[in-house]
Amino acid sequence: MRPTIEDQLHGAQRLLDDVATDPRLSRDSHENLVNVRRLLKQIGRSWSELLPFYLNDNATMAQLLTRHDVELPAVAEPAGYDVAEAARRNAELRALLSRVITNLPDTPDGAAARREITEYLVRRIETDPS
Amino acid sequence: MTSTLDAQLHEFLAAQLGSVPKIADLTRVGVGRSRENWVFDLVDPATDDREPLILRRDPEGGLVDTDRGTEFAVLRALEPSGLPAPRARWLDSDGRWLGKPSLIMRREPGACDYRVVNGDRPLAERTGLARRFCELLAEVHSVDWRSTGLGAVLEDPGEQAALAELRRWETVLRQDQLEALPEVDLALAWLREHAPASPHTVLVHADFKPGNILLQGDRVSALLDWELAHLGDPLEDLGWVVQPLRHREHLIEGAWEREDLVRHYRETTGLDVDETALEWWVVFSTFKTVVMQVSGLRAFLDERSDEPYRPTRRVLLTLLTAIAERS
Repeated sequence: MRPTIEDQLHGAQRLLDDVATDPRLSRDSHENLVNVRRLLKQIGRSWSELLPFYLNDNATMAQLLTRHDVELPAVAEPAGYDVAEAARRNAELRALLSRVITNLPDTPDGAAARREITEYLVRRIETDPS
Repeated sequence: MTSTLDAQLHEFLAAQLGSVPKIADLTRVGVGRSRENWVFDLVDPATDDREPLILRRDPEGGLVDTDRGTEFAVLRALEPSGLPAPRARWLDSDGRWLGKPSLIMRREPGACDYRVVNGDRPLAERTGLARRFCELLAEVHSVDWRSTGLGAVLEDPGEQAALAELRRWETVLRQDQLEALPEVDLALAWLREHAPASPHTVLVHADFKPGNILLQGDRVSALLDWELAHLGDPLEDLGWVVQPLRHREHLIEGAWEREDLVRHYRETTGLDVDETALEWWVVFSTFKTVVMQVSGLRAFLDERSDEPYRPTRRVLLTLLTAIAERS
């Protein structure tokens, strides 16, 4: 149904482009405008990919944590399309991963675990659309 | 805002000078809530001579919170050193006069160009500047911090300089982080495990870059932004300079590579450069950049800053790649 999210983001960008041409704009306002346009552009690029990213990352991270004997909180993985809930779950799992990292021993097993986690985190950064 | 500050500044300077000051051309430079620099001239009523000054007021939020009082004391101590540091004039340490903690310094001539080393100038000139910047860094490190009194202002961390800096920036991280950052915790674990002992204590600038250097033609007229300066390991500055995130600010591909810079630094200072230790400081520099971005994000979300900082993909990847390569 129109306007779609893309329609609205595109409209907001167009209106801001128009404001940017106003010669009465102060330097402060112009700089703020640049930042607003940058943020909107980033949202436009990422919003549609966020939910699949979180769902996939939550599943991958849950497997990784389970391999490190972490008992996952008894909250059901969101089955629907709630991006906010998926993001909350992602932050929860990342907190558990931080705890795992902090408690890894200085042994060959610990070093291997650090390598595994590093590889996972590199992949995550490369695919994070936000 | 200008009229309020104008009145505050008149009152403050009157108290410092013991007479009514004549202030001309008070103008804010830079924009947004993150930077508060005001330039003005103090006019001598008898001769009409002008002293160009800059007022730096603490921002409500920025990349890093620093202490204006320490910066003032460092600048004062550096005056006899011969370094091209701006001359500190007055300090309002608690913001009683000027609304926020503030520092007034002499405004030095020249212009900043953070891209100058890879800018439009001829290659020979750019290489000459890159070499000069390296020598300037060596001059900072050769300051006799004991005789200039810096030891009374700044703590000497001795051979624990690496761990001391790591603790300092971890404290900033923990204070400002809004969520778990396993990437950073991984880096912290590596940095803690591999921290080198520091063989020398020197004055560290801690944000040495062309963007903080004023140039008049090809002459350095000032080295600015001493707010992060402290005593520590000389390799801290060298690591900051040669880190991959900043290589285009200091290095010129095919003409002034990392090896050239490190060799020239070694020859100029006479200090040994332990490559393993330097690698640690390179990783630390990336970690510090992430922490600055985390603090910037916090300031933006707390509505203390207008700059939407965030830990970026490039910086996080650089950090993790560096650790992976060295593990």
